[in-house]
Amino acid sequence: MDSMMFTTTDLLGPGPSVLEIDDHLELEAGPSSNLTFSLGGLLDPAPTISSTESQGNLLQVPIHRMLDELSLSTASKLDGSNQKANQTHVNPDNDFTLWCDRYRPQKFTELVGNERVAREVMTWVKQWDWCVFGRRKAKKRTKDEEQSDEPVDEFHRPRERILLLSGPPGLGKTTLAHIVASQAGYDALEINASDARSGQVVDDRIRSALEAGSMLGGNKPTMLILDEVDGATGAGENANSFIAKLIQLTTDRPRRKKNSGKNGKAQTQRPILRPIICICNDINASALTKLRQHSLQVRMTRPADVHVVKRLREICELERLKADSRALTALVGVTRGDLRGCLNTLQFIKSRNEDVTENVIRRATLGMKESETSITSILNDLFSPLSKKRVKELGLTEEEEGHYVSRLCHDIDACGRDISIAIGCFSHYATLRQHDANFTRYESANSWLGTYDLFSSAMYSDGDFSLRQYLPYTLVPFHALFHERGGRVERSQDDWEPDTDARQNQKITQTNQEIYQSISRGLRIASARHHGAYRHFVEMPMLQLELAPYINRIISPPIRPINSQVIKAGERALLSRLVSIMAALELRFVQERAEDGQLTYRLDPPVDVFITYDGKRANDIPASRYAVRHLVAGEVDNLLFAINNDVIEKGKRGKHDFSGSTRTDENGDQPPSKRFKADHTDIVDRPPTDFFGRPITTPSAGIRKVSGAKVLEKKFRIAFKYAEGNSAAVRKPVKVSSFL
Amino acid sequence: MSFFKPQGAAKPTQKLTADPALQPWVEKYRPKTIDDVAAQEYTVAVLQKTLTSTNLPHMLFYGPPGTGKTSTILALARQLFGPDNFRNRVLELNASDERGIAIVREKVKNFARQTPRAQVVGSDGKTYPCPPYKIIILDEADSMTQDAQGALRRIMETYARITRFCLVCNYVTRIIEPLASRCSKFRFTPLDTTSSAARLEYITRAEGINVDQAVIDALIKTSSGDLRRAITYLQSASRLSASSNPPLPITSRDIQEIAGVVPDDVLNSFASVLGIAVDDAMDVDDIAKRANGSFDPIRKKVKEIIREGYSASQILSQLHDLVVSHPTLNARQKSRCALVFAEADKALCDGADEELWTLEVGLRVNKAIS
Amino acid sequence: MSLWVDQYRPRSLDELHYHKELTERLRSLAASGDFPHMLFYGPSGAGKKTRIGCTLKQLFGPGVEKLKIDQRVFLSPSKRKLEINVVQSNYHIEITPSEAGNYDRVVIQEILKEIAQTQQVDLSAKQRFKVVVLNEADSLTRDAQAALRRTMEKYMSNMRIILCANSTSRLIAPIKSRCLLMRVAAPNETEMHEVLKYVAKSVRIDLPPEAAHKIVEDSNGNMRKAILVLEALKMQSPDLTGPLSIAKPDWETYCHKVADLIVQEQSPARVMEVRAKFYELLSHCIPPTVILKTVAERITERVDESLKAEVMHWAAFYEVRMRMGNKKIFHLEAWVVKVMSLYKQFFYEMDISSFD
Repeated sequence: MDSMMFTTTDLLGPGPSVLEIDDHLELEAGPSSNLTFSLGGLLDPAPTISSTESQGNLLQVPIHRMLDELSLSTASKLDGSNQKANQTHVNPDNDFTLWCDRYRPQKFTELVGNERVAREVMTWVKQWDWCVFGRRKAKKRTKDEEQSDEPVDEFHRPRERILLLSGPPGLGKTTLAHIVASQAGYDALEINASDARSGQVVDDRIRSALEAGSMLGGNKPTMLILDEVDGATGAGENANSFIAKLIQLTTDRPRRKKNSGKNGKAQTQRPILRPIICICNDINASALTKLRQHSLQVRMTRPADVHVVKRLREICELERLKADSRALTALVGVTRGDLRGCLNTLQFIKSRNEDVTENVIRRATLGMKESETSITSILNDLFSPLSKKRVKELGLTEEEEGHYVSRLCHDIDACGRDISIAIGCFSHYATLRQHDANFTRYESANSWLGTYDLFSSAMYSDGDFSLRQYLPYTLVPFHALFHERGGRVERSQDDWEPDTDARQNQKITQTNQEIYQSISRGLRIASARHHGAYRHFVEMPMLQLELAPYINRIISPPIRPINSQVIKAGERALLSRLVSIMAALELRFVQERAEDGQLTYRLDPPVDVFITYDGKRANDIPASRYAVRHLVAGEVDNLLFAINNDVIEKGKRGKHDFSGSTRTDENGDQPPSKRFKADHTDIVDRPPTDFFGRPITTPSAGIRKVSGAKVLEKKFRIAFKYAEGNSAAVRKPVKVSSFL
Repeated sequence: MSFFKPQGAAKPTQKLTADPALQPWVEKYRPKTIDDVAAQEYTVAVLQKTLTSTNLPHMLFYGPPGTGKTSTILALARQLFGPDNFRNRVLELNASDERGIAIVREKVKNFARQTPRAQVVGSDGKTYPCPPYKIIILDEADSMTQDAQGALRRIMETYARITRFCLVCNYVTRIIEPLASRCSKFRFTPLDTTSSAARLEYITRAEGINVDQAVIDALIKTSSGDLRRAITYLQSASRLSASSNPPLPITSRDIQEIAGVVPDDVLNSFASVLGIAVDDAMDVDDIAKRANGSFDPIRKKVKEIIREGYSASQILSQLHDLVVSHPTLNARQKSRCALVFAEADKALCDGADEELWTLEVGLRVNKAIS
Repeated sequence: MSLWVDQYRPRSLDELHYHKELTERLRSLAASGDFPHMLFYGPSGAGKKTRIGCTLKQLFGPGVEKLKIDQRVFLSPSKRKLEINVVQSNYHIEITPSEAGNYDRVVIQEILKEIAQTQQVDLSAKQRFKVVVLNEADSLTRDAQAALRRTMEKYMSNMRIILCANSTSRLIAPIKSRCLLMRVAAPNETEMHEVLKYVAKSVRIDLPPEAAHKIVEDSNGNMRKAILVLEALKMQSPDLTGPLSIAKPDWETYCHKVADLIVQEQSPARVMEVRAKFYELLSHCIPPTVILKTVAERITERVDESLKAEVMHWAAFYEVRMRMGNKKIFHLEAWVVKVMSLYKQFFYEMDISSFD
């Protein structure tokens, strides 16, 4: 029981210092009779001090804390001795800790395998020393001689502020992080899947924890360990997701240049001066896309089997478990180097008082949860036969190899991301070079996909998750259908996402939906002005199917880019009609500078997207030329100006009678169009920069549109202000135009 | 007159609702005593007894819509308590009220918990049995969530002494078993022709409108045992006829249009395109034409029907009636068609596209018959 | 200035061009003072909303045309914000509850209760009730419909509901039985010609009969589309005489391309190609059912008689699945594969038979 207590405190990290860890280890070393001994060691305060001293942080442990520890250990000793009395004659070997906790490495030197990774992580953490410990650490200063006492304003942080540690489970990523933390003199603050992980947490908990120094009274600096970060929510674009906040946290510019995105807190956000280690299984998880760019990625790979087997044998000896190395090798093979899994299995075998032989291992691991697999590997399993090596590892017989259903189901289930797998299957099955004369395979593949979709959507819409257990079975048939000739799913590319197609599509859909929304906003505004005229188009299917294609044709009549003064009467009418339609529907041509410096006019909102398929515009609607658009844009502005004036006139008379705003401005575009005369003759070949100094220009239209698009009332509020006579500058051109 | 309305609706707007001309006839002619309830002899007989003994079990009324479930319980409650006690002794909740688990826990429980107040002497001079319990009516109980129903279980038992529950629903299978087993169940059957006819005639007399037998028949046929629908149709038809100037007599065609029924000629022409012989009007030419390609004519016909705006489910059910009672088709053909109809009905319930499925029905019926 | 389709939309019952009988009914109902709940149904572009608007005007006078449009925010039970656009005058309110998706029940309950509890303040109003117009009523969830059912009876005294739907199939029976059903059929060809002629006359353009005929044929009973096409044509080419080609909406052209692809070749590579096209269409927010229908129809035009029924059958089959599922593309592709396989089989059999 007592050792249990120690280990839990160990895991929490910060409190107990190295002393207990050492003690604890001793405790494990001699399983039978060392309980009293180790506790006795604890009783004596002297070792406490000496061992802390050896770490060189004597002053960090305040006296009251030492006393606390002392009383704690006395209490636990009393506890333990009671228990021991009970235990001794029952079974001296019986213990309540999991072996994987008991044999968790406690020191940097105890780490097995993967020395390179461990060193890499350590090096990175050490890079923080300058920033975190600065001049305080005497030991370090000897190393970094160039360091001076001047106040740090560049903080001397390493280039990447986050370390992203990835690898399959059970290799000791979390352990590594904790050990490195304690070795380098930090308190570890761990946040894992059991904690809430929203963007809020970053602000509330993490920031304060990192800024305040340490938790639980210890005064070592805090190192943040984010375990299982790939499960964090918010893969989306939204700026409040956990990952986004985290990145923001680390990239915050020092001092007063606080990020604009921050919710206007009064005090400036201090940059984070503590190392952060993120741990994940699947480095390609979509949630991490952003994080990857901002972090130093360290990949943990499976250690050589020899090392693992050696360690296992040591443990077996300590536990007095008879084990032959063949069996241990098999165990390591089955678990794919997952040490935690190995230890659990061994403990299980031990608890049944069996010897470790290959048979026992096979039996024990039979139903064991396979290590979590990535989507890519599952897709590979689905689309290709089992490799010979893996067959051997799992020790399957010929017959068992054929029984793929439960195996694959298990894998898919374990992965837990069946949607991605389904999409992966969908995007992959048709690319296989496979002869399928009458499409029967394709048909059945599709019907399985369809079934999958029906199940899953029924599940989500009714919240009836008992269907979940059947979902994997709908995907397994892909193996039967395609494994024979199925090429391997490419896994070479790191960024390979099975559902890129679908995701990309989703993105485009989203943009287009936004465009539709802005159109319908425009329509609503228009309908408010025109007795509710356009409101019937706002409903979605009509907007997409009828209005969108035809409005494009309506607003692109064949107008020649000529001076608006000299055009024929027919064209004049066409132009004025076009202009009034565009004005009414809140469609504008907005001037933009293209990358090559050319000025262009863009339709806003870009309704022309909806006649553009595969990147090509419809044949019968040529994109109008710059000059034409310029002409139209100018006319639209004039018209809008006239309307606004009109409204203002009304406003002067007293009421916001916007619903009845009559349109007396049909001839209003006649006088202002004269103004174009000067610029317009050479407008075709020269973008009119000088023109834009004028008050009524496209940018102003853009602004007006934005403000108008928000809320109707707002628009008129602005108009009202204008009527108060604040801006004589705007009023001026009216007079000019009316003179002309 | 306000007590004709269920409580709740009447309170803020009593003056307005008092105008009987504007009231839906369904409310106006709701039975006032349980003797007035049409058909449902068995249920009425049992409930009569409870009136005299004033002992009431928990009740579960189920049956198709428009068969008088709500009317029965309202009439019974009224007879038990009289208009004055009605308000504080009866709680009626239906699907338009929020009925999640929270409401069950608060509103229902609070009401169930109150000890009924002493009997108030009826202002209309009559005496009512006024037994010492309250009634909670949960209308449309089948749309309550499982959780909410679960929460009711204990409440029903705990307050059984002072509160009776009456659950009203269309589908008894949607009521969880523990609730159903606590109630005595009353099944309401669709109304037979004579009793609906009698009721409709009573209403026409009371409203002073003139209708002939054909209209009554049409009403009964289109409403298929749903008296509320029949009455609503009748009211709509009389509205239409009364509002025109001069008032036109109601015809059975009016009823059909109001009920959204597809007229016979449209349906028959559709059927004949499908190859179902209607009125022996099929000549050899037609059959010959069908032989070399039935697809295009069927599709053309379907498009036509859709353009007319008829609803697919209506066409489906009418086509079903036509096929099932068809004199010359054999049993195999009919059962094949029935299968098609069943599938199509399911699809339409799931919200499938009407045109596609009307076409599908047409094509497959055509195939099944030939 | 508005688009013609709005500019020449009839605003009162007298101006309506077709369905005279229906118009008469509406007029008499509006006059009777005993106005029922109503359900207008019929195909898209037949003029349901126009008729609703006219009826409202008949009921309340020109005041209904003074519209306010604003956004209302409702809270879903899970405290999510739902923004709904509300169009209202002093006498009526128009909402499209399907904007709230699955939470339409909340919107309906709140709006109806609010309207029902506020009395008509305008003393000069012709009617004592207010009208609630619910658009796209056939996409109301079951929950919302259930909520509507009792409310319709309860608040009859100071509120009337007008539902507008494409079809009554998706409405539950209790709602249908509480409404007066008004079927608005699509106008027939002569009626459409008349309307087009009227529009042409009003805008003073010359519309040759051949052009009108073409437009009518193309628009398939959809008046709104017909007028839009007319205006688009007019804008594109000032002269409507001579041979005209009416541009199909681009999504339709694209769907036809897809259909051609399917018929031309049946191979895995083609499946992938078609998939990309479907993605393109879906990303343009074209409803998947429309895609499926359009492609299917085009295919039936191009395949052998014996295959047509099958193609449509599977289209219907997969359309339902698509509606119930989430991943529309799965079902679209499943249908494509099915059709390809049918087509292959068909040719295979033909080959065999030709050998015999």
